[in-house]
Amino acid sequence: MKVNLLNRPGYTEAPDIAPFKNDLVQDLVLDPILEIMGKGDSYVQQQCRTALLTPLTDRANLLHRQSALRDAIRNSKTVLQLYATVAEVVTDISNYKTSHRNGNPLPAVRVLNAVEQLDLLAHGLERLKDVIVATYGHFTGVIFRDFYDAFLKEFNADFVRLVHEKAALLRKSGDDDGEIQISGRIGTGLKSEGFIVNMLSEYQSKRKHDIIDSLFSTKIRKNEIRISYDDLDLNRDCRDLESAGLLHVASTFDGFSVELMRMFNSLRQQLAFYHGCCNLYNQMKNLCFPVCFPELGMTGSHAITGEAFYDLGVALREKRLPATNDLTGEDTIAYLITGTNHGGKTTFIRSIGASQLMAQCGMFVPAKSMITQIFTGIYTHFVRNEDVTMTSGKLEEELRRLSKIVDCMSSGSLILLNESFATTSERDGAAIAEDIIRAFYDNEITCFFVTHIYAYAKKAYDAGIPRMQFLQAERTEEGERTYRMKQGEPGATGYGMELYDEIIGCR
Amino acid sequence: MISLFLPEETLSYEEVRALPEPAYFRDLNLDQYIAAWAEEYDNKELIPYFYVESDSFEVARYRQEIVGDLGNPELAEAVSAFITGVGSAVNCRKCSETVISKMQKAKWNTDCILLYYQAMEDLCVAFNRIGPKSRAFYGLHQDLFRLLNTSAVRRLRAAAKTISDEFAKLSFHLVINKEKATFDLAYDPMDYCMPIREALANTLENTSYLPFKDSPFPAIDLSPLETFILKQLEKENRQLFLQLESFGERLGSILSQDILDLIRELKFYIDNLRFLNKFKEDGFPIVMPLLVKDKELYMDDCYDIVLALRNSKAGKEVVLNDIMKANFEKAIIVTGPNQGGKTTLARAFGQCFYFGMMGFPVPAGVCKLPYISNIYTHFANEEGSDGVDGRLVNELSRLREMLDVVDHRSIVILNELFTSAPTIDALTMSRDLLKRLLSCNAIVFYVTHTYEIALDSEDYVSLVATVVEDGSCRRTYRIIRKTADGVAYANSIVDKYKLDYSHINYRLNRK
Repeated sequence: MKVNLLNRPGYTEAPDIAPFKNDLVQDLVLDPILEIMGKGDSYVQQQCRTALLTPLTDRANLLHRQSALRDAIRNSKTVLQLYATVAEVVTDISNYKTSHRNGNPLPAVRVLNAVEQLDLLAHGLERLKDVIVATYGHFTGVIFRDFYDAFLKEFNADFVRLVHEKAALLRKSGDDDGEIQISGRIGTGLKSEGFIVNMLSEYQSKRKHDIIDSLFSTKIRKNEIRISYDDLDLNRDCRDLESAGLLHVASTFDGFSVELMRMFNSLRQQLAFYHGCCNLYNQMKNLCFPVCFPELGMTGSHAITGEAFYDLGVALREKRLPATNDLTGEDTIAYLITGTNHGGKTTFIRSIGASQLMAQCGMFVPAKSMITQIFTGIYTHFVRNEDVTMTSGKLEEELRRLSKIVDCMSSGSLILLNESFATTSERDGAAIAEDIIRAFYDNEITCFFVTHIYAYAKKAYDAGIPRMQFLQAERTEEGERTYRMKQGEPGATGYGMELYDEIIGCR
Repeated sequence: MISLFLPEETLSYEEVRALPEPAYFRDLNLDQYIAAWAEEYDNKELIPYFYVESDSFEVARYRQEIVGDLGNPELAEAVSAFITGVGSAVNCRKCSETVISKMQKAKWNTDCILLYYQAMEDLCVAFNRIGPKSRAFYGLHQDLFRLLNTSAVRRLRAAAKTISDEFAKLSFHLVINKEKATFDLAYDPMDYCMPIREALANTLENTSYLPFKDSPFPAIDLSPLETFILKQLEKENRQLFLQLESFGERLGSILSQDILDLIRELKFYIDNLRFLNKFKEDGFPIVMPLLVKDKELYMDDCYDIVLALRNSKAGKEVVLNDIMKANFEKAIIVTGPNQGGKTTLARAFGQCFYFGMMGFPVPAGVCKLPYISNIYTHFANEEGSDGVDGRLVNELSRLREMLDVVDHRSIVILNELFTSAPTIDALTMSRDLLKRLLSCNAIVFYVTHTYEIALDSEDYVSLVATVVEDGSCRRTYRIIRKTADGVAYANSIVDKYKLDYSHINYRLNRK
């Protein structure tokens, strides 16, 4: 049974459009968000991390998630109950597996282990069914309802009974109270092959057996010859064949166990996402942060527009709403953001990046309103303070990282550049920036570029390039920072010197 | 029987096994490549095929055609099935030689006949369907077809099939419980697992049927229970068992040495392509070179395949380099700092020629390769020197031998010459040696630290190993074509990562 809570039926996994996951987490400060989502459950946190770092481009699928998530938020207690039940079942089974990991070589024991696992799974199905029956009617949306109905239809009472029944018989045989019938053929080199198990039944005592034989047996065996157990070699061979037959029957359930386990795991994973989202939503509501579901257009439809974007990661960490920014994208494809240090530039593009990432996971976003398009890739290129590799220069490290991004990105992507190319001379930096931004621009790659390279910003501004916005970190006349962005001409004040101080140290 | 290495000639494994390892193998680290290859596929016995160099453009083309055909997965699969099929037949033969029971010997032999010819027939059918383009597979198709249609083979197969079919009909039925076991002849086709599988079918998206194939009696000889079963069956089918005995007794081995040699050659091709494909999967380019008869060459994104092997295991990157040379250019001179990747490049260059000459794909992204049949290398040997004079003498005499054999179909790879001589002398000697080699019309690839040589002639291609120009002189292992230094540091990094406008544009539009 395929669980379609997270993705619409028929959705096939698309190529990864955000391959640089660790960079996203670090650059967009996602850890505080993930911590709130996990709320102490490391599995939930891990699954939310995976989901958040796997943005989608399929609009129908995103709408599917938005709709399911709205329903989940309305029923966050039921989501928790479902999640907790499934998590318990999965944990029970994996605990059983761990404690029986070193597979006992005795076939009879292996048969019994398989049976016990089967029982655990059947029991898990029953537990989940109880929750589903008890909460039937809670969800109003079609996605959770469809899941409930499909589950109840597939795992009906007959089915569970059959699993229990066959498991009981196997258990008897494993305990040496069964009788097995096997047919075979003669194969290459006169070896026996093509074995087939015809029947597995409870072994009746001799007297009873005869009566049942005469009453029910339709096949009268011709030329029946008794194999003497007194011959120890023959006895051993018969036992070996019996064990092999039992293992074969037990293995019939392997696919079923695997499939059921897969279903439970997949359900756990999908519920974890919704549970995590509920945690986050409730926390944002508690703190009175603005939150909304974004309107999603097709790729290339329009630029990002919205009111009151804020840096969610930092806001959650500080438990306080920071300065918010509005953005009117219209047809803008390149944003050049300049201004003094600590003016909120990084915070600003972070708030845009995280909102877009959440929007493309089908989540709500940290803003009062947001209309955006679906980007075909989401990338960040923030300056790194430490040279992780220890093998190359800073500019080299930056460009190598950018080159890897270029390898992955395509027209319609979004990239956030934060103080890139600042580790070389201003002239070189400006030349590199101009080339790269122009190439992005010409290929319809939306780019937010926070930069100190005044030579470049000024030149771009003077050129009057259409579809380009120039934003600046606002500074009041008293020199106070408001942490808001405003449109305007890039100013030269002290950029070079600041840069000098920052990189070389104070003069 | 045809050979996959030489057109219109036969090549027995005995001959191949006698071939020595070519002299340049160790310098180019090809011995390491081959060792890794043999370990991967556990096929040490196939190593000597690496020594079957091609001696003409035509031979290389002949092999390239085979590789081209094997690029069709359907054909590669058919060939693999043929290898497996003949392998099973060989196995049956071995079993017949091992087992004690006369009757069983006869049956193994009968099965061997069936599997052996079936494998050939299957391959013919596949060839018919796919229509290979290479001369080798075309010829093989003909040979096999002819063999299968000889009356002797037809008769033998028919007789074996009659017996085998009768045996396939024999079956038995056992009932086992803790008190007794019984045997009878009423084979029951009912599968107890079927209804379970059907009941679970809703849950399982792909209900693949797993047959009960792990026999508890895996040994070649019969187990006591199997012997018991056969005894019962023999009682009922005395005539059939007698027929088998008289048929099997007369049989010697039908496996021909030609076919077994062919299997080795096929396996060599398949394994080698599989190995090269692994590089592709790890992100290293592998390409079939365009072989040409003039001297123009380019190797875009070439690399040392042994370094790639080592680094991909360690999760390290390998720098790709471009080498190009116009038809009129005679030599490639590589200069630059030590440890800058020059020797690695020399190996990459030599490996491209080696694999190209063998008719195989090469470690590069795009490659146009002049056909050559001889590779000569001279790598400075630091170890094993017996004094300064001794080393120079040794070096010179090796070069002398080389000069005697170098011709227009040769490449010569020289890695650091005359390091034991004073610089001015070394320069003079190098210049003279180069002149001599070039007068033979060989392609020379010369790694040296005396950059003056690179300036000697317009006909020399100059490659320079680059360093990070921030004062640290860290190596980039990137070797570029340029006459002198002086290119700005930032630009060289931008170039290195192909991040100028036109490159980004190209890279973004490629998708």
